Amino acid sequence: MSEAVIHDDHHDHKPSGIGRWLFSTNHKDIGTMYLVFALIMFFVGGAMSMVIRAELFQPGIQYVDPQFYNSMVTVHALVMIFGALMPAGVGLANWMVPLMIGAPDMALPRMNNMSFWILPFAFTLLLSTFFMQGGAPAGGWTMYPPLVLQLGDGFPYLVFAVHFLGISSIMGAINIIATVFNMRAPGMTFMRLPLFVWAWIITAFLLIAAMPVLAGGVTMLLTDKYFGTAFFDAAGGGDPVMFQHIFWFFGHPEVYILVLPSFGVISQIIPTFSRKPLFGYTSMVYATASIAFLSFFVWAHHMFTVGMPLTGELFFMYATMSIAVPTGVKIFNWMATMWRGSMTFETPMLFAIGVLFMFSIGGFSGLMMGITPVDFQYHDTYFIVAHFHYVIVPGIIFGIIGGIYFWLPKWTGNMYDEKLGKLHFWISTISVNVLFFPMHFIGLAGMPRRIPDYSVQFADWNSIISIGGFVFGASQLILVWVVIKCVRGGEKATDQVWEGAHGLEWTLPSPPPFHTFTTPPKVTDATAHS
Amino acid sequence: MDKKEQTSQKKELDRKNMLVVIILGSIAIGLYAGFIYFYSS
Repeated sequence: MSEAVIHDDHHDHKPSGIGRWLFSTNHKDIGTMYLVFALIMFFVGGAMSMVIRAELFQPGIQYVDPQFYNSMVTVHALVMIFGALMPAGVGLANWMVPLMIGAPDMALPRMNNMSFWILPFAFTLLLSTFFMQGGAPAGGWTMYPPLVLQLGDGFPYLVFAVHFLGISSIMGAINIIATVFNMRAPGMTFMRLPLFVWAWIITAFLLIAAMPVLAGGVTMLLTDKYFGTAFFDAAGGGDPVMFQHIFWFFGHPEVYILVLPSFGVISQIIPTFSRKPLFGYTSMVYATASIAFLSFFVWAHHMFTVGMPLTGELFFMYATMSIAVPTGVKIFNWMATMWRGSMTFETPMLFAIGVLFMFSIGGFSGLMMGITPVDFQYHDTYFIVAHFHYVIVPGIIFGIIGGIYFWLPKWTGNMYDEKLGKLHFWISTISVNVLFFPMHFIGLAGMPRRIPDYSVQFADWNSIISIGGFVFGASQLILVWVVIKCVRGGEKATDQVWEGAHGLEWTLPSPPPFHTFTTPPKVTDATAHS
Repeated sequence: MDKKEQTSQKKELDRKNMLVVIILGSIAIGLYAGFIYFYSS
């Protein structure tokens, strides 16, 4: 244990009561709040997906009217993306980035508090629309006009919720950049940063570049509806397709905003359980940056069927395919890290390997859709739903869950129940494939997305998909039980926790004291991840 | 390190952090406002 840490133990004064959480400026407490909020939103969004799968269990209208079904589809996406995945990533960053770079806290602790507390406020705005005249948003998370403009009283609430979420994300991104740029411990050079920190720096820059574009787009929607402008109104000389370009200029980088932190997590897990340094550290950094850069030049692959000049379609097709190159570099490096490693398969490693296999399935179907003429067949079918859910669920959520299992002993000071963790992994993995893989088949057979009813020819697969969905949803309760059990007690975790773990965060006690690294540690090649 | 030196280091760090906030905040606000201005002109 370093001298700095012993020193910290003597000054471990935690505030008490509700004030500890309301006015918290401590990165660990704020990280915990982000993660708990994300978990709650994961179950709120998950409950909506259960409604969707219950309705689609059989053909015909079963439980909800089509308008409410459309609201479920729309708000499920908004809640999962902005309420569960992004806050979970920020929660992991809040907890781990200062510990990994040897900083005492985030650079801007008060702004950190504000970034978090904006979130419950924004989601109250969004979810309150269910009780308003006209109901909740039902035009899809993409908010395309003119459909979205038909929304009733809930429309400005949707727009302002998106604004607040954007403000929160941008403040969080600025905080992470300031922390990494200004508060690294002596000797922690950029090329010694753990890959998780690199992933977050790049994600933060993506957020700053992409979120204002979405905010601008929805502001223009607001002025179109209430202030007589005609940005997207064809009758007034505007162009509704322009909104699609604006939305996807944000929307595609958003995919990488979600996935890069997950890649960062598994870049920490795989070397630990392979007991080898990460293969090709430098190429990993450049590949991550390349993915982020290229993500701004591919947006129109979401719009091939909208109509654009052939040159445009070719450009976006080749640009999309080029992203497979840096992504392939990352997949290769993770596999090369495992190659001839002294591997063990604890729960975090299982989830990381799950990401590797199943994200690749989503990646490959993405490549298929990047081919313009082929996309004309897949567009707006369940093939698309299968693709992006493979990217998001086993690609991103599995990465985040892997990170939670990986760092939980460090956070709580107790080991989690390994048997339950493995049970969680296997039930989740089997059910997630039962849930999403058959969507490829019904998509190729022509089942359209966002429709509450369907042709009887799709009935069998839809029943199987729904069963997969219910099992996957229920299996996530195992995670909640594991976390509660681990917080309440269990076998004591060592400081290093995992035999193959390296880096500053593992030199601290488990759990780390409330204030850490008040005296910065000295970082050398031996203590750095690389 | 004496207290005076610590205070001056803290001030220097605060200044650098604020600089990051101002630069990145201006970029974000500039993108937002510039974007709307671009489409309205």
